Amino acid sequence: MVLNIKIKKAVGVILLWGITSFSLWSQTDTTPRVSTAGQNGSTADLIRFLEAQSGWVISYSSRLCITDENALLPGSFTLLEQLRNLFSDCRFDYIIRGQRIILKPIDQGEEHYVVSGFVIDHQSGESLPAAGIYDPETNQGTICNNYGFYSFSLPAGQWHLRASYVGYQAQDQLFELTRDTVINFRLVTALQLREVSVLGFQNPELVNAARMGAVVLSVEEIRSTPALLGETDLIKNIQMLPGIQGGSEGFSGLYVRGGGPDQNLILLDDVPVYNIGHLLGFFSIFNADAVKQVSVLKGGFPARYGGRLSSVVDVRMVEGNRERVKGTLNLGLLSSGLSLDGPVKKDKSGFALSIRRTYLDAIVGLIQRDDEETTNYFFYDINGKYNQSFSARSRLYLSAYFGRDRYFTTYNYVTASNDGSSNVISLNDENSAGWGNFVTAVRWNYLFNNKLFANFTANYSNYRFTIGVKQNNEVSNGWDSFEQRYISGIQDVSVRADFDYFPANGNIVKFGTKVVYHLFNPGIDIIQRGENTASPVDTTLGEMQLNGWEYHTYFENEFVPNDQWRINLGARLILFEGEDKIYWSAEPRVSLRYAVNPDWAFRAAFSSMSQFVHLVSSSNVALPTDLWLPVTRKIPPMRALQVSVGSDRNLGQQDDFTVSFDLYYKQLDNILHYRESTGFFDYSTQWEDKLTGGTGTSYGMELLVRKNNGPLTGWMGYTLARTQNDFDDLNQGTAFAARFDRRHDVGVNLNYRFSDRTDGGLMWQYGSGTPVTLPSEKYFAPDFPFMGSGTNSGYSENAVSINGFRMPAFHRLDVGFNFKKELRRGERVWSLGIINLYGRQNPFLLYFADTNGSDPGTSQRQLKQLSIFPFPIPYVKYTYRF
Amino acid sequence: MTKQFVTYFRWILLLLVVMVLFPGCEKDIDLKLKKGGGKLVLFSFLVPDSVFSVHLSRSVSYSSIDDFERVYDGSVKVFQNGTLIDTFDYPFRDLWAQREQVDVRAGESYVVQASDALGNVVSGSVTIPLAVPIEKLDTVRILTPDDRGILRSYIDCSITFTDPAQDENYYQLLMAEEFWDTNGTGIKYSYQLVNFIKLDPVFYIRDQEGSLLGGIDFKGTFHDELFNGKRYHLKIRIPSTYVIPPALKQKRRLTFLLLSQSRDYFDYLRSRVVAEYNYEIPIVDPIKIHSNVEGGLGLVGGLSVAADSLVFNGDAMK
Repeated sequence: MVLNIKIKKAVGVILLWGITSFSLWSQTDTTPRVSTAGQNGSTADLIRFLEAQSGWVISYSSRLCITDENALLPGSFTLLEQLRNLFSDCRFDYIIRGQRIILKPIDQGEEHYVVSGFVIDHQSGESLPAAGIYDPETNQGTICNNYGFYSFSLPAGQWHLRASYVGYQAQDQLFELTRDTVINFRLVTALQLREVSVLGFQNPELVNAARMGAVVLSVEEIRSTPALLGETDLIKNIQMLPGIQGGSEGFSGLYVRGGGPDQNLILLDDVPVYNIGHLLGFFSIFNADAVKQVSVLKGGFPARYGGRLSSVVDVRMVEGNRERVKGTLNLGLLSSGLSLDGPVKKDKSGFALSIRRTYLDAIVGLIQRDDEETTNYFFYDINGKYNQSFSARSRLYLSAYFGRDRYFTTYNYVTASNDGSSNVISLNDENSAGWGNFVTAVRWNYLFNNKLFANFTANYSNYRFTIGVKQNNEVSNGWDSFEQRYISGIQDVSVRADFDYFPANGNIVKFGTKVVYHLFNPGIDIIQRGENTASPVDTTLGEMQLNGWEYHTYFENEFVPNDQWRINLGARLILFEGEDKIYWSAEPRVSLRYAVNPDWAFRAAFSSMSQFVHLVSSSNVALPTDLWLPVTRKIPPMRALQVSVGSDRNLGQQDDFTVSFDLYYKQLDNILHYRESTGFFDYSTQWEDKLTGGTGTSYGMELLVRKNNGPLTGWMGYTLARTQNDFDDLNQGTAFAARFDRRHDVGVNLNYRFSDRTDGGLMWQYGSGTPVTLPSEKYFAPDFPFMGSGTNSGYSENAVSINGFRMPAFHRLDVGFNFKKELRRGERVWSLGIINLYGRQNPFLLYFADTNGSDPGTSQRQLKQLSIFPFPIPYVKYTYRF
Repeated sequence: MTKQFVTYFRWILLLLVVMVLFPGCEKDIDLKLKKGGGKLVLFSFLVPDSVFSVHLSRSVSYSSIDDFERVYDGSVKVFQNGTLIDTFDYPFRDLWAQREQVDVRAGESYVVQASDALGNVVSGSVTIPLAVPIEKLDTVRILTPDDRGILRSYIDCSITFTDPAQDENYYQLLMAEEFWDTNGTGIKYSYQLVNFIKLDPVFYIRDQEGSLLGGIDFKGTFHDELFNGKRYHLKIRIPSTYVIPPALKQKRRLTFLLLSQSRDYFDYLRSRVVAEYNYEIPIVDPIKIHSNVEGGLGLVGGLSVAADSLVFNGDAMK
């Protein structure tokens, strides 16, 4: 008992000593001594003098009492004592970081005022979404919403605010806050400032934002990277980011942190897009000339996003500048395009229009001009946007995207007898397949007051796939026609209201609601017949439409309790009403950021997501035949929980480098997979019966190193990840690697500015082998009873395990150069480059086939690899900007 | 057009042709694949009133020249309703071992067990379904336009049967044409299955069937989801050439076989059809062929047959 009391006393003494020591230590003046002769001057000059004498950096808020006449204490004093003397009229608090002292005024309960405004492009007047607004001394600040609007509540006094945006030169504003104030920032692109290097990925909000795994991509940088056939592709750039894979080489799939390609919420001006591939996914539908910004979220999803499990790709279209008409003409090997944007009424309204089309069909059409049979393909897309300001508070946007792919074959045969009779035979057949999206939205931004911003949106999205057969026959005087079309697709109609409320400095509340009506069309046949002797027949087969209603509501609060912490808390509620079942989901979201200092922050996030529509696909390539279908009584919604932690650190004198590190763990439930004994071509089973549900886990580490300024900019990413799936009905109930489970991924994307006129880009990708299911054995296949001989294929294949093998590693180097020249009216750019510079034959498909040239009866099955870009592929592109 | 421009244009055109064709490159690769094979493979399709047959072999590695490996030291046991009724050493020279002493009856349960000298044992079991008799067979001639709108003559057939209510039943409809010709010396006989048009919705129970994307022939299999426990008129269509009266001294018989299948056999047949369809489409994942053989591969299945016929005689054959 006595011993116990002694131990308690000892512990008490130690704790008391520790607390006292810490307290004493925290109050100790550790700044260096400075000897002065009591110099006079302005406060700013004297601070510079103290910096020179002490070797320390002094950062101070412009709200401190800065006077033109001030004096130092004569003699030897610590730096802190000198500063207290200089600011004797206004109390301040301070933070010491290494050899840096940061002075902050102590809030004395003065009046607070609201600073609000928009951040826009200086030249075009376009809003800059997610631009950062912050105090450069303390790095505290906020980010704009998707319409470039921000709002602060700040104490009265002198303020210094900086607005920055990726790819733009930051702009500073010094002002005295005496009442509610509107300050609009007009930023100049870094590319227009020749002395400033491209900022690339740099985001001054990097260590400020509470969001995990968010990356904003510079469209300018994307335009300068090498691209297949010169077709600038946003999605290919996104695929190179850590934690994101593209699936098969050359395609536009997105597999984010172990999720499938249907688990990405791809938004074009807030409207979901269901198919993002042209030419079976070789090229994405996003025309880089029509895009203003792309941001990608892999985790830590704020509550304002929902409906998909794995990522948000938010694509914002060019709005249309309000100053003068500008344009870009692109001439590429595959396609050409024209983009125009400008004012309709100066400073009131603007438009943007981009058109792109392939012209291979014109060339092939010439070659096939006299052929009875022709085969051809083309795609095109059109982006349009109009914006109208009714007042400083009210702005309207109309936007639309329309894109189509079309593949077709024709057969035209005409013959006439030479004997003057009327024996004419004319056969005209046309087979075609086409697919595409139509996406349109009308949005109205309204600023109720300088603290409440609202956005009301109504949109319509339609993805459609068709196959058609047309036959027109004329034999002598008789004719008949036949037409059959197969149509499938999905249509969405939605309305939503989103509000951003800025109650206090560092505090943003976002809330809103959305209703979506889905109309699924899994496939119908329309048959039309006509004859000159009978009435036309019109038949519709298999017409079935499924529908579903989604109701979303969310609430999100991002706040800054102190200098270190930034917290984003939110929740989203979703109700899905299908044909035969109602599901709901309550999804909590949390993101935290702790700033060790202005250049170093730690992050953590948790998000719960659910998904009520899914893509039924049986291939590792996104095909237009893939069907979007809703959850049903048999198919419950997919759900995901994700936890991630990470850190961001700026390095170098001018934040030359940024290092980001993320760890994540994701749990997926009710994910879908085809049953082993069925498949896409098994039409005679109901689609729900062809699928089975299971779980998945994905975890990994992502490292991203960015070089932000100087002639060399770019980034290098590395991912170490593992994704496993577990289905009771598959693989004998044992877990197996997910389809694109790659252990290692490396992406390097560098850009070097040789001069104002010349820059070069380099992209290198490496991925360790992706899993593949291959048969490992074969066995006797008997004839079926009662069906005679000949039903025996000789042997059957047996794939012992799903994704049991791995393809060879993938790696590829692409290089490209851009040569610019100022012309009398604009600028021209020649882009030249080579895809797959060293001719790596990467695996696209593995399959078994008989060995070539074997003697009869000795043929062995040999594993073969198909590569689709097996040698260096050059490209050239001409761009004219005016 | 200057000469320079022509040269430039040709160069672009050449690039276009090279690039747009994307000449995919195929090459052999040396991947370390786990050697497959060595599993016992057991097949037995039990049909009442037919000779009991069983096949025993081993699977082989996928790169092997052979399709299967014979089992030299195999033995087979057959159980009927839990009682051992036959045991024998497997005749490795034969593709199928036939055992006339095994009495195969509808409604009975059988277990076929096979083993090798290494102690590997595989087994599969089946309860042979009862045959569902064809109650009526109706035909009617129709004229219908083909894809080009030209009128064609067909025979629509209606096969009536009553589905047993208590079980899930799995069926296959087969149609065979037998032809006898006694013109000349001797009798010429031919037998062939008829590829009929599957009009009936039981062949396409998937609501969102897209005929342009279809194309798999499941060999006339269907199940009773749409008519469980009911009397059903199954519709098929055949070209009218099959009912053209034969010439003198000729005879044609069209036989409609309604097979009642065990579930495992039904799944095996359909999954094998899909798997074989996909063999030439490497972009699609391989399909697992259904097996009910524990410890190995293969299938022990059962089928019962009900039949009805239409006979067309040439005059001299009456």
